[in-house]
Amino acid sequence: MAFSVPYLGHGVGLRTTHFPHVLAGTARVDWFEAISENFMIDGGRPLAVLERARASCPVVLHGVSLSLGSTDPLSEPYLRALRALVERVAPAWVSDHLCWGSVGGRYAHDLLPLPYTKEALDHVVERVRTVQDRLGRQILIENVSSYLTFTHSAMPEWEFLAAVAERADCGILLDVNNVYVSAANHGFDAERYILAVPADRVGQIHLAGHSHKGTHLLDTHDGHVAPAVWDLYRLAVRRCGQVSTLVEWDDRIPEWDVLCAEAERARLVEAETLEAHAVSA
Amino acid sequence: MLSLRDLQAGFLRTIATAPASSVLAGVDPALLELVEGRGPLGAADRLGVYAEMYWARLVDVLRDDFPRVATILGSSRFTALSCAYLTRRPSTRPSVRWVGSEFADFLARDGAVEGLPFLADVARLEWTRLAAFDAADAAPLRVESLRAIPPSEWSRLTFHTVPALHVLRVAWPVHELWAADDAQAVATALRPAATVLRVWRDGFTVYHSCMDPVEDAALERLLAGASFVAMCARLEAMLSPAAAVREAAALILRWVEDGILAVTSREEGRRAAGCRGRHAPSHRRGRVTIRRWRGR
Repeated sequence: MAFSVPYLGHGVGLRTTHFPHVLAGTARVDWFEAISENFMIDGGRPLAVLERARASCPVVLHGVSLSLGSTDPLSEPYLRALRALVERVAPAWVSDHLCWGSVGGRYAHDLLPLPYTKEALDHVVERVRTVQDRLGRQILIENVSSYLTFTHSAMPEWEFLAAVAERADCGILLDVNNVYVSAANHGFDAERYILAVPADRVGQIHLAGHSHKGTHLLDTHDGHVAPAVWDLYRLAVRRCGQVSTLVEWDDRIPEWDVLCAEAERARLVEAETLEAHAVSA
Repeated sequence: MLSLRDLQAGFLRTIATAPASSVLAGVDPALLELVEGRGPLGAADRLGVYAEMYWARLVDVLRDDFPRVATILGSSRFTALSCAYLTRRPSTRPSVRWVGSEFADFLARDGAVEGLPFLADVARLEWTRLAAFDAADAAPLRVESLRAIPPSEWSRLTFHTVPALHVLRVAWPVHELWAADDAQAVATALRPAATVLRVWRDGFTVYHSCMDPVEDAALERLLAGASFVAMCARLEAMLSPAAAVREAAALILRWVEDGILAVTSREEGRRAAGCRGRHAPSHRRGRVTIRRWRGR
């Protein structure tokens, strides 16, 4: 069993704010990440923008509603819509989150935490396998930011994530900001998490900003990447090597140039880290 | 020990309890026992973080999808009404695109607001504009193609509409509210009047327009698949024969200019593709809807 995806460089999320740049052909970037659900529609401007983006560079599809950890059956209409979108866009890869977001037919539209138990592990592994079978391709699963943990968890999150990836034979989308936020909220060592993730399964890295709420950190995606998260990114690059990296910015979205500058900073940090690592080796 | 399913059911029930009450009021004690309380945040506080995000996110979705309703109500009343809606009719589809699918119906029934009897119709218009916004694409018939059709062929012509066209029947002239700079001021003076609106998209832009009885009758025939002649015959019940033909032809031209008639044959598609262009409509249009998409 193995996992591999191409290295795409440093990309940004495809967001409405920047649709005019995409349509005008002035949104130059290594690659885009599109939120799958936003394009599960019949037509109109969003799909036209997505196709324009795809014509200019690689696109990956990133879902928020697969609800991999839910105890509800996987949504058949959702899987059909995702498969149709995959066929339409031909993304470099498809990803979603290691979490749940629906139960009893009701959707929270959030990325809710799982208990890290054997029951949950078996359940998620089976669901990831099913999704991969239905899509005819491996997917990447992303670690989420969380604000609570469960007393009956039998393993730390990084062990759970690694076990899902190995047993389901899928990839990992390592969200470095989420590791930082969850580490702060739960008191674990963020570096230990990064060092424990199976490097050969990490196909993408997310970077984003977060907010300090006094009692906890919130994953708000509304600002620059924090210095401590850049440090964790350096560690992730040292451990995993070159990995396609994406800057997420979903609220208080800045001008295109500002967003791209953040992606360029990631490129610089990656290059400096790899160069220093090569010298020290 | 809760099963994974019971844990998830208790979790969602807890965070989706109406925000006016404390999280602890709705929390399952068996769930609370399973949540780690650490540092400055206790177990209930941690569930509260998720509850706060649940309501904020979904109310924001509704605020984006129903901006005129939100303006008319004001922020706090809109939030309260949205929370009541989400409690009665929680989201049952994976995409947030559909969170507001029953909002207009809710405003017409359980969520009716005293003094604002037109609010459900405003919501219907906003929801219909969304439907037009992301409806399937279709190549519109263009004026040049229409003019190329010999007059002798008009009697046999039938037309098809683009998927983005919707006809909306409401009890209030809500298009007047939509166009107003000060929606709250217009709302005060609004009087009920049976209103038929057509809502459509031309290119990426969504429009709506109020139809008079003649246009309504003609479009109803066209949507039923009637020929141009049958459309004229329908209008003869309302106008003189000569005026019916003139009006029917004028309506076809207006609809083509607006981009609501579709190309249906390969030949037409080739001709239209060669003469694609932007045509300004001859009547007042609604304002553009910009969808705000969100992701994590």
